Amino acid sequence: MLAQIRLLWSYRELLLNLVLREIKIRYKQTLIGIAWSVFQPFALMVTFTLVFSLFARFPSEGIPYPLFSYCALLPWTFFATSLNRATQSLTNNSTLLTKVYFPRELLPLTSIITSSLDFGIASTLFIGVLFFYHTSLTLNIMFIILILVIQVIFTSGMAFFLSALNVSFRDTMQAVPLILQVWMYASPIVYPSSLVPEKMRYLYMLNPMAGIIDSYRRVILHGLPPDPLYLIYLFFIAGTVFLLSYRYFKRKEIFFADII
Amino acid sequence: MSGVIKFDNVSKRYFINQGASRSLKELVPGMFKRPSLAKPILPDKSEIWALRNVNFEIPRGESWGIIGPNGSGKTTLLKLLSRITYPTEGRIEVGGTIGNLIELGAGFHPELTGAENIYLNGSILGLTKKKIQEKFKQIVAFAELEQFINTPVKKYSSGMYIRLGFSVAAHIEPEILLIDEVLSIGDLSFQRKCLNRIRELSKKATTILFVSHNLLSVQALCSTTIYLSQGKVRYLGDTQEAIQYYEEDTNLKDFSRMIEGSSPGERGFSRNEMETEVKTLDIQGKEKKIFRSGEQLIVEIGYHTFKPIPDPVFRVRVVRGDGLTCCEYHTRHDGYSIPLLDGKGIVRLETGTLKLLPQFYSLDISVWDWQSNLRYCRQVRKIIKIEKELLQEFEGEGIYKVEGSWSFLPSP
Repeated sequence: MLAQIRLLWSYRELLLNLVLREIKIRYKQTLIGIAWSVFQPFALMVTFTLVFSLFARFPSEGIPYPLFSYCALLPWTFFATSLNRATQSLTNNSTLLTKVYFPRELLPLTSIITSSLDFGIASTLFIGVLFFYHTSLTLNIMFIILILVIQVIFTSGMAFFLSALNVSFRDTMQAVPLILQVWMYASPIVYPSSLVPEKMRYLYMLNPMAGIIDSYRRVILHGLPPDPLYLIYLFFIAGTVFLLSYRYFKRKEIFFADII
Repeated sequence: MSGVIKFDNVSKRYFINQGASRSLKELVPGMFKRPSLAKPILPDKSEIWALRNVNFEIPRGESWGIIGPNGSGKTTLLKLLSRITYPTEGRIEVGGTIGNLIELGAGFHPELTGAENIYLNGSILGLTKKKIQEKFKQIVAFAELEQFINTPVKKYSSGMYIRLGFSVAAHIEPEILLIDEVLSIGDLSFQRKCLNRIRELSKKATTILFVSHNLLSVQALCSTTIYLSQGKVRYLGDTQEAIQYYEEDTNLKDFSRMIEGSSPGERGFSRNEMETEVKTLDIQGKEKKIFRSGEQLIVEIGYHTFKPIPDPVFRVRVVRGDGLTCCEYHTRHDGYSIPLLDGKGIVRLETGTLKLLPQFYSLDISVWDWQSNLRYCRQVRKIIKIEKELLQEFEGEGIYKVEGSWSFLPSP
């Protein structure tokens, strides 16, 4: 593992260049360029506010609905775009895979890093929304870092697994957007988790994204520390997913160039 | 001295259908079906050994060539070496950083400019940003792309694309350089430039493994050569020898196919009144197919007639690959007559010194009646190769060559 990390570190410049390539390509010949990464979660927030707050009158734990939904949409969009991109990261770069050697992990990692940049840019808008609603923040906001780390570990784990699986089965890239759509409604994004019947809550919260989203809301909007028991569970799940997926990736890696 | 590259009994197996049509849709129903001999559960997995029990050890700083027909495992060998793919059996040891010219410009992205791609491709090949910055001007100059370096690569011509690819790769200065069919691209002057650059690297103690169909450049660059055929090492050793084996084995077959298509085949009707069989020999009477330029050639035509044939005419044409008849031997024209063919026998032709340029030629042999109106049997075709002299670097153009001498007389 340590040797792996050292190897990846020695390829940091390539990782950076791959990320730069992704970004440059994405916004070549576009008019508003990087603004698109703000646009996407923002448009969703407006839509959700209209549909779920104005029309359907979903509860939002006493928090203005735009703030409530945007706070969840940001990390969710980060998660979803990471996975959507990472799934195809190996297959989209088949010419690279079959012609040159470099640690294959770099490709799914590139997807996550580019998505995290979008996430960062969209977050600046969120700060504006926070000010707009005069949300008072507490020091508990520092927990964001911990939650984010857990989310990134979980996301990378999923990304390694899905990208490697897609090399053998292209069904993966068809299934992932669908699964993510279902997953979004199975997570407390447009509604609060308190809306889930008490009896089913434990089952519901087994979904790590539910815990992650909930924790963000607690920390940012309610100014409370995250539930420690829950944090431990999340950390355990994220770590397990990561280790298993990475092992799967490394085992499959030696066949990538042969079967891609 | 320890080897910098070591292949220890390396084999690589591919499944022919691997990757193709393997989707859940096909796998899942298959899992529930009862296995039957007629329909295997999985798509047909007929295997192919791209390499089989390959052993060799290359000392540091040497330049080795790899030759062999298409599908003999050359590229697989380089891919194994550069860790793009992994061996099914055996061990590979590599002591040093690898520069890989398997495909030029593999990491190029069409939307990015030349300059952006230099940085991207450079880092894919393992160069640090600092190193690329240092060499940037050199790379651009070598590729002769100063004017277009800020143009997206998608607007490049294929020549420009390849030049940029080679230029980046040639400046990585790794300890081991793998080159696959690089010199067959670009125009002649650029090819020469590439060759020189590789020579330069080789002088700096870079270990070079060079795959090419261009035997001349293998000869120019490599002292030792591996001749691969069907995944096995057929010969390992002196380049000159390896090339000889390779040409004897394969090229005659390949080129006969090529010539078959391009030379004027037999025209008109031929009676089936006799059969012929042709052998080519050198002046010592040894049967062979590869001759040196300027060597005498003996053609032995064994015949077997089904009925007596009066006044036959034997014709032997030497035809170049593109269908041009270079010279013709003809019993009547050459003032030789055979009164009657009956039963079996041999007609023998001894040519003078054939000063044909190195090439593949076909000998087209046919038997006619005296007026050359009727052919008694099907035309027989035999492929020979005229080889260049050892160490003769330039072949020149034309059909034949007889020695000439130059002199220089400046006016006072």
